[in-house]
Amino acid sequence: MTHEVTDADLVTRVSSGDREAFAELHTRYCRMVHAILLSRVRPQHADDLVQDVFVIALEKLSGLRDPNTFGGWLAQITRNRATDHLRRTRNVVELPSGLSTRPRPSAEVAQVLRAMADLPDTYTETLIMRLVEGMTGPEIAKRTGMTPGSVRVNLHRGMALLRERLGIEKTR
Amino acid sequence: MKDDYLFDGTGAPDPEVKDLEDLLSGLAYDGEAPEMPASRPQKPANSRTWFLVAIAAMTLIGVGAWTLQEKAPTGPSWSCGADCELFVGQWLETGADKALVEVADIGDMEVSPWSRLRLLATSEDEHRLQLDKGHIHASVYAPPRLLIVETPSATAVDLGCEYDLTVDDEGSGVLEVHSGWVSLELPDQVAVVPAGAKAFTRTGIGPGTPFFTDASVEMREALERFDFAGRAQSDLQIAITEARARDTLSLFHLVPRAEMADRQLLIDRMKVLTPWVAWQYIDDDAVAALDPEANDLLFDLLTTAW
Repeated sequence: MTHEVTDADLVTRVSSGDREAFAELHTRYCRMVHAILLSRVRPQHADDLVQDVFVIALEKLSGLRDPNTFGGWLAQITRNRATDHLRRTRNVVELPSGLSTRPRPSAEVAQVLRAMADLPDTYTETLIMRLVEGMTGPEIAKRTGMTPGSVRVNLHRGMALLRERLGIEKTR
Repeated sequence: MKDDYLFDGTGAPDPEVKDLEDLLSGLAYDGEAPEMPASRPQKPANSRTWFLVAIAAMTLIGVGAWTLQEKAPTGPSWSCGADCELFVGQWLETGADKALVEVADIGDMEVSPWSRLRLLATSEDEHRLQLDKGHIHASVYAPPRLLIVETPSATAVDLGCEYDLTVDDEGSGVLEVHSGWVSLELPDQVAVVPAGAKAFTRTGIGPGTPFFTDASVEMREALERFDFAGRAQSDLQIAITEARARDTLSLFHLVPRAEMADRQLLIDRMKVLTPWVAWQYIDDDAVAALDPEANDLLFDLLTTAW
């Protein structure tokens, strides 16, 4: 039976310049990062910001005192990057042409995203990790540092609220 | 059970959840990891030649008249210019000129005029220097804690970075970090200094509170008075009032320096300045009691503001 290398081991190896360890951390956490970004910024900007977040994390990694907190630490960096992005683009007009690598979402997708974004942050992030990124509850718990019980509660309450809101919109 | 499908994907699919998955799955992330920069500088293949050319060029503008002190050396050494080797135990005194030193294979260091520096140890695990006076500019590309510079008032531990360290004739000094992190340490005091920040250190007192160089003048002056001239509560209050979000760097470092009664004021102000930080994970009492685990977690969360 093989044991998964811990995040702490990977963080230590990345600090020593190990590219494979960095790729593995990216594999483990890119969907969590993307989900947090999707809960805050437009989908066509989220992919690029994922890259930014990992570059920022790499720059700041030597300041991380407890490598076991990597997931929560990375999530905080992601939220900050999203906030920074929104602040910088507040007065920027969106280009009409499809310059982004990802096409704009359909109206139906955009409507669901808006409804999710209106939920409390913890519900939004957890639901996007589950419904968009395909992460399971236990995986979400492992990456974010939340307990499985908290993830379950977030998913249930979030989904109940989302049903309610989408139901209201569907009956229009 | 429907709830199991929502939680972990097992059991009979909930139709509404499945519909949403199908609708949204096209947004899922499938990108690759960004390119990771080399952990060490990618020197040209003929780096030795390049370095000698640089030394020759610098000599034309006044580099080179340094002196090496003490007995005939043996053992490991660092290059400190053309025909210059700094051996373990030797002092390098720069006089009116500066010297360029290769820090083993992990970086470079410029030693300014009128500096006095000794190589204490060099190995794969640690490179240790003693800076008695003067100024160094170090650029290190290596894992944390490989380069350590002892000064009379604190020890500077490199955490992978570029920085300036100055020590005056009395042994007091100032550290300014340009990239990465440096930790100024004494056995019972630590100041962790990130890029864009500075920290003073005083003989007999140790490292002061680190601060960002763009902090307000009022805040910087209050910190200097608090650290080195009496620890007045009024100066602490000025720092608390003047602090911006990134100045939580200073407020965090003030917690162990402040009286117990004032620590909650610092914690409360940090909460106001960084509402996005997951404060629900932080135990105020444990932070105020200087519990290492609680402080490490708070440090890690606050770094996102720095």
